[in-house]
Amino acid sequence: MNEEYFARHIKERLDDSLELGPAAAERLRAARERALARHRGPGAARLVMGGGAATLGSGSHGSLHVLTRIILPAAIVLAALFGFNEWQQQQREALLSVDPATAEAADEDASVLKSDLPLDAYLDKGFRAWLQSPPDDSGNSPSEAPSGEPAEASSADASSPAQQQ
Amino acid sequence: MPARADDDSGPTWIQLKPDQQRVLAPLHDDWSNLDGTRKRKWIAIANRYPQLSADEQSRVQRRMKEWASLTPEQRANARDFYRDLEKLTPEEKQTVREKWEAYQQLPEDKRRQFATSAAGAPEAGPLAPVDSAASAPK
Repeated sequence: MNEEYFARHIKERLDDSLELGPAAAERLRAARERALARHRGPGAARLVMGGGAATLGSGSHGSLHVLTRIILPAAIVLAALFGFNEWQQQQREALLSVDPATAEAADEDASVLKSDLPLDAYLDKGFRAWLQSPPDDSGNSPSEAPSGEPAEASSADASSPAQQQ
Repeated sequence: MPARADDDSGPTWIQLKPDQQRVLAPLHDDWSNLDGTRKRKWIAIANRYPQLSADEQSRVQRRMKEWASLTPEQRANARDFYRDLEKLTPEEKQTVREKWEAYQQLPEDKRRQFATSAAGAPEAGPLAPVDSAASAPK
């Protein structure tokens, strides 16, 4: 309680007696400026000297530092990564591209693969020979089941698909 | 910048797009053994795969591995047979499917006989040769 009273008393006395002349005020201002300039370093001092850039100078040293030391290198690295990724993508597309001749051949293979005629039928040379054979050659007409059950084909195509065209 | 070197081994499995990997999954284990041309054929098939019907997709999936394991000669014969079948009308193609069922009911020795005769022939003839049609019994 006494301390607070004492401090207030001193403050009032000081305020009452604070009368600085213009020269003293100017010296104090100049000293403050010098101290601030020293604190900011030479780069900041130059910017402060530049006059109009003073506002920029007060905080620009840190910003410039961040720009040149962090943002710029990061942007370069990002651009390089992006370029590399693009290049990789192009390489991949080229690798996966199919020329027209291969695509056409692939279409034919796909037709066999998706066909409702079993793959075994395509691979069975005997079946193909049987289809091509006249019925009297084999004794088992390709158009008739061995049990004698007639195929649904008409008599016009009773021998084989060879005669159907 | 050519992406395909002279020793064309084609894309590796991990270079395939996820959709292509999904379609070509039956070939995963054999992929590295395929040459570049065959890989690109499969890629083309995978690219067209979404346009197939569900039944066709199912058949392609089931046959993929077997087709890849065939010899080049077997595949060439199958393609050749397919080209012959393509000349037929849809009704005739349907008949061929029925005849396949009938053929499978032939006795084993009979089928072997046809297979042997086909193997002995220099080249399998077309399904509808003009002279064959002319000599066909009525």
